[in-house]
Amino acid sequence: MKIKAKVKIKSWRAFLIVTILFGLSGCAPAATSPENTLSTNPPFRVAILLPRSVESDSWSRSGYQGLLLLQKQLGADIAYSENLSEVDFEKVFRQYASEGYDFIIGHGNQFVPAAEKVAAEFPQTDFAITGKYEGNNVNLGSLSLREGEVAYLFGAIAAIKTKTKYIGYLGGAENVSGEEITTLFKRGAQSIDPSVQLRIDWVGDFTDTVKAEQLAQNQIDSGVDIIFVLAGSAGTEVHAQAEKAGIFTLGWIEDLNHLAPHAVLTSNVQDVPRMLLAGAILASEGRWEGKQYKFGLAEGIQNLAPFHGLLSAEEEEKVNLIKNDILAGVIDTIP
Amino acid sequence: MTQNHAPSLSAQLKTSLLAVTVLSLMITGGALGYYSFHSQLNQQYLVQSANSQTTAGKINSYIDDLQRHLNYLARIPGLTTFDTAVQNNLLQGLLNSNHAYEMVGLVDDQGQLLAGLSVSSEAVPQDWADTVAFRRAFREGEDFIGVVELTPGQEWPTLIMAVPIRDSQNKVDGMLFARVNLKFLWAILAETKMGNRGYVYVLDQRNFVIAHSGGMPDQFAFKDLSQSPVNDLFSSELGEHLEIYRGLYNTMVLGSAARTTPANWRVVIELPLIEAYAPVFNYLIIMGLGLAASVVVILILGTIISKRITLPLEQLTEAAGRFSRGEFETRVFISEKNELQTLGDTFNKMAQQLQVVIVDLKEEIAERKQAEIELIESRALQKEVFDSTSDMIWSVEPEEFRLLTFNHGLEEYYLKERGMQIKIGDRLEELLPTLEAAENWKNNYRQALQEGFLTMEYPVVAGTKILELNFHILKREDKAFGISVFGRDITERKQSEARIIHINRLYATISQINQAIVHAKDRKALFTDICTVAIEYGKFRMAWVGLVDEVDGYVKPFVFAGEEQGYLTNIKIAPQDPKLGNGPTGTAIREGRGIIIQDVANDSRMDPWREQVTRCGFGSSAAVPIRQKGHPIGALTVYASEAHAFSDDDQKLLDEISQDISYAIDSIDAEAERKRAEDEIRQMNASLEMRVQERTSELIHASRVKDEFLANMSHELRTPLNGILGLSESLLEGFRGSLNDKQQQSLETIYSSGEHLLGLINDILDVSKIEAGKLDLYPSHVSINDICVSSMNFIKQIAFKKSITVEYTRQPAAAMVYADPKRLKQILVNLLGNAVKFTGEQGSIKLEVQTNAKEGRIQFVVQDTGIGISADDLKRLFQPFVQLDNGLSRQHEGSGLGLVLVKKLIELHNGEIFVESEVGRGSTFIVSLPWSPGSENDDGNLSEVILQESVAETSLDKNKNIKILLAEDNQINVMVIQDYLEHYGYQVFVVNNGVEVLANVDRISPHLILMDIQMPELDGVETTRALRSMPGFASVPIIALTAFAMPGDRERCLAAGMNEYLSKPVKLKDLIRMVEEFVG
Repeated sequence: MKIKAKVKIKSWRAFLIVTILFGLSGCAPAATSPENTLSTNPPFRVAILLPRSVESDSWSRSGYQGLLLLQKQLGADIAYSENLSEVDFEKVFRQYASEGYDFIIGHGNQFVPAAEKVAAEFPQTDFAITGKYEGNNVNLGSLSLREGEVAYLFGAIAAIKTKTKYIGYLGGAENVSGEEITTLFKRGAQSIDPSVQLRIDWVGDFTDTVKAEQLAQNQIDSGVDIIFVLAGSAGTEVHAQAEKAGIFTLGWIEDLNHLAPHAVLTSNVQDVPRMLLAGAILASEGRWEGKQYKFGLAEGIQNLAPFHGLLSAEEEEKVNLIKNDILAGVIDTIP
Repeated sequence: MTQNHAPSLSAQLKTSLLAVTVLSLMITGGALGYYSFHSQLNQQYLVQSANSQTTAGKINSYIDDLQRHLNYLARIPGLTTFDTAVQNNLLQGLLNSNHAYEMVGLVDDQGQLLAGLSVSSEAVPQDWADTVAFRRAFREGEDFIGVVELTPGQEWPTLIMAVPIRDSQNKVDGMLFARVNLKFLWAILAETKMGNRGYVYVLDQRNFVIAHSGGMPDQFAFKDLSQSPVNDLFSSELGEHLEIYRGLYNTMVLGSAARTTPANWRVVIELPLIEAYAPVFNYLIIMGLGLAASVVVILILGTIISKRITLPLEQLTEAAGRFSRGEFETRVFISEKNELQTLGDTFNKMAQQLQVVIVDLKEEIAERKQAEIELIESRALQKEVFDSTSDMIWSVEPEEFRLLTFNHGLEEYYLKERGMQIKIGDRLEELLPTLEAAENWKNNYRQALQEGFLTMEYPVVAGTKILELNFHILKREDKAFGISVFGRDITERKQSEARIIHINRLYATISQINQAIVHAKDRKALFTDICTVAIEYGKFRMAWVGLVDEVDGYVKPFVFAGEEQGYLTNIKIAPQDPKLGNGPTGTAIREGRGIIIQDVANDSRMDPWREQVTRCGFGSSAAVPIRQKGHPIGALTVYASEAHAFSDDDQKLLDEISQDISYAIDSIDAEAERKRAEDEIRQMNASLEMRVQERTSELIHASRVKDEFLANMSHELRTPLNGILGLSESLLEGFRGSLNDKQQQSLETIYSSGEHLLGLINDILDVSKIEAGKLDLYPSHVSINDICVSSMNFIKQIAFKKSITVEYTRQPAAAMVYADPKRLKQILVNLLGNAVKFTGEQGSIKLEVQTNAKEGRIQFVVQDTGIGISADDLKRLFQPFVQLDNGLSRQHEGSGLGLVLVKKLIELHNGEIFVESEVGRGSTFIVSLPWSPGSENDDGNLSEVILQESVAETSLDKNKNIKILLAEDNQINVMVIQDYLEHYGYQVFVVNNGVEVLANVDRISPHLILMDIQMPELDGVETTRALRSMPGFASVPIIALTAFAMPGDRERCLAAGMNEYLSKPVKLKDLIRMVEEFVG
């Protein structure tokens, strides 16, 4: 019999650390706890390049929030540029590098070419891309998510919920990440029911709401009853649209259930700020390498949002089992 | 003084001390225990948590170290393009850096091994293209740590680590991998601090235990903990909870856990609760012991104090208690020199003085008390005794007779009868309903006072109850102070006594009357006896019986008993008279029931006889009717001196007497009747016997004469008829020359008259034979069709002449019936003949056969549309010699025997005949015979014979050489037959008797012999026997001709050796056909 005797010991934590520090001074280093190491160092400077507006675009907002976290956790000096067009990427990178920023982040794959160029010019500065990128092996590395894991789970959820056996994917711009996600989405769905068919539509960018709504309507009209929306600000209205049509959606980056409480089954909650923090810590410690750093369910950097009662207990249990299998490496989520 | 149950002073003292001490100890101890328990547990957890974090940290840094070595090589640009020797050297350096690396290698962008080394002689696999390591590290470009594996052949759990490697352009184009031995985990776990009985283990992402403290890794097997509560440790925040649960070895443990970052493993330390709680338990034990010691000390202290303070007090208390219980010698001795000693002395003095006073007082009180108790007890007993009876007992004072005492019985009586509550002191006027009653009672009491004792039966409650009263005078010192009365309700006893006497009288009366009835020879004796009994046993004054005079309707006295006093002289009673019939006698007779008039002196019904009644001094009267065969013929009337002398019982008695008398009268009448009837019967029997004798002899004679007559008639009538028919037939055939029309017509009339006569004779003969039981049946299976068709043929011609449609539906050829074919045909021909006879021109006749296998019956239905038969006539239809409608009989000739015969023949076949008919519409005769569907044609020849109706036209010439010997003594018959046969071309030789046959047969050697049976000298049967024994004549066909159409004839003939049989009068056509059969 399990005796319930949970005792909150948060308040004791500081005490513990102090005790250990005093008692074992000089011995093994304590777990990385940034608050205790920053007191006398010169400020660590971080800048981030955001593709779209922090206000309207959740992806850009996640980068900005990461920046705020760095400020809070590392006491970093921060700077950001939003709504950047491609022609300005290089210029902005260069500007930050020349201003002496220690760690410059390009928030998205589209920054790779510009970053590669500028990184070669500033070998003492650490550059990072958030997105899939193998790194330049020197000072430009990447921070990316194993998005396929969640895409696979989304596929499974969609297959469990669909009645028409016809599910849809509404993407923004067609890119590497999108390819991986659709592949795994389909794989996940067909692992539940091989007869489920997938319809894929691309808006072309992440901002055209009119087109997104048109495409969504096309999907609805063609019998799709679950839409996986990954179209940035373009897809924001699609959830409410789907709710009106009486079908379900799946959201990305943050829990979007508030947009359409009866439609959004779940979302991929990506803790981009924490991912940026992990990279920044390495950079601040001088251990940033020009390679790809990957995060996912195991690291807790991304996870499913709550189902808000749209899945039955049995369905939820089924999804959790699949998730556990992904974590244990039993299910192949490599694209 | 009684014992006080409140706790003693000393006990209170002890309890208070104990309570104060224990409570304070408990509160402080409990609070201390509670807080120290929690702080102990928390502290334990903190230490344990810190330990798990430390271990996790060690594992992290170890794995990080291993990864960093790989990453070092991975950072080298163009690693994939180096010479193999260089690559091998670099790999060797890697192997040397840490013994955890078991195998290392470089793989190109196709997943093929470039260079590889292993610490053992184990070969490095070549193809890595499909491995997860390659897909992750090369394709996905990420650092990879695989799952822990325990593959056979490897001593330790291992895992694969892989990182992408670059070409000279820093582009990923291959993979560096290392297989890592996890031996280091055991070393790290062994360093972990976790108490004496605690243990530590590592869970991987699959929830498998991949390492644990104690034991050796090479004996290790993975254990799946997916379902274990240990997973709750990670359910929310990382290792932030103190958990108590069932641990790895299924015991309760205190668990703490920490994650390792690069490999996503968890380090779990579990400390058995017993050990975790040990310090707390120790603390609790010490506290418990302290508490127990304090209690003991307090108890000892309390006892000592109570000894010094409460002992003297207890002594005093006890002494006072004993004093109060009467131990007046009690004194106290207190040794303590304090206030208590003074108290003790004062107590002793007081006790001394009290002792003296109390002893005297006590003696006196004891005596009084005893007397009182005895008195109360005796009074109670007395009351109980008096109240235990339902009799009434009371007493009154001798002056005004007011109530002195009374018992329960009297009280109840008043409550029940008067609804009043009596009380002592009540006066007579209050107790009694009237002054008169009160005066009576006063007299009773006075009488009792005078006589000293009085016993009486006294009616109360308006005479409905009788009390038996016993008065006694209560005296003290020779002076009466009261009168006691015992009253008992004897009403019921009195009533039943009276009733028993009455009933006895009634039974005696009944019994006497019954005796009188039994012995009565006639009415007068009976009535006299009854009246006498009524007087003697019924104790009536007068009784009389009066009978109604049928002439004038007045009741005339018949007998009487008792004091008549001229009452009956000239008495006028008329039951039907409105005035003179209203007395008891009249009413009893008129209404036929017992009647009572309880007060004749005043009853208006007695008005006509008032004077006589008064004169004779009759008080009441009753009368009962006397019945003869249920009708009242008179009455018994009785009179009693007093009014209301008759009770319900008397009424019943009178009814009883009435019934008995009526019965007796009927018996007397019946006896007389019986005697008269006996005489008559005796006379009648005698005359009957004589008549029967006469009639019997007559009948015997008649029967014999009839039989003889019939037998003779049969022969005597047929023989001449044979001649008539035979000759007229041959004349009609033109053997004796042609005839003119008139002759032809006359001959036909002769012939048909003869035929008719023959039919009559046959019918009469048959009927008489049947009646004599001499007609035997020769039944066989015959074809229904054949019988019906041949029957129909008989009537076809006549029907045709009358234009009557004849209809018969053929039955299947195989349908058979078991019957005498000759008789069945006779039945059908008869019925069909009647049908033709009684059906007018243009009518129709139908013969139908219906079989019913289920009921086993066959029905031949003959239906016509003729004149029909009335319902009355239907009844007489089957009586002999009856022809319906005398007028018709002339028109429809017949013997009147046909249907009689039919019915009798059917009955011989165990069948029945039914007729349905309606006058003017036709008749239907239904012959129903037993039948079974299985009947088969086993006697086909017979039906053949019957069927052959037509004679084949044969050539007369071919008969020329055929010789026929005719043996016949009657010359008419000889002439007819010879004539006929010769006409057909046969040679006919005639002999007159059997002797002549035998004498001539050799000479003639005939082809066929026609043999009369009845011949002089030697009859046909004997002749045949003789012939059959002669050589050459064993098989000559012999046909018998006989006038004796009697049963057995045919058999007799055939038995003698004849071949066939024809009865006379011989039908010539039949003869020819038969002859041709034998010789044709």
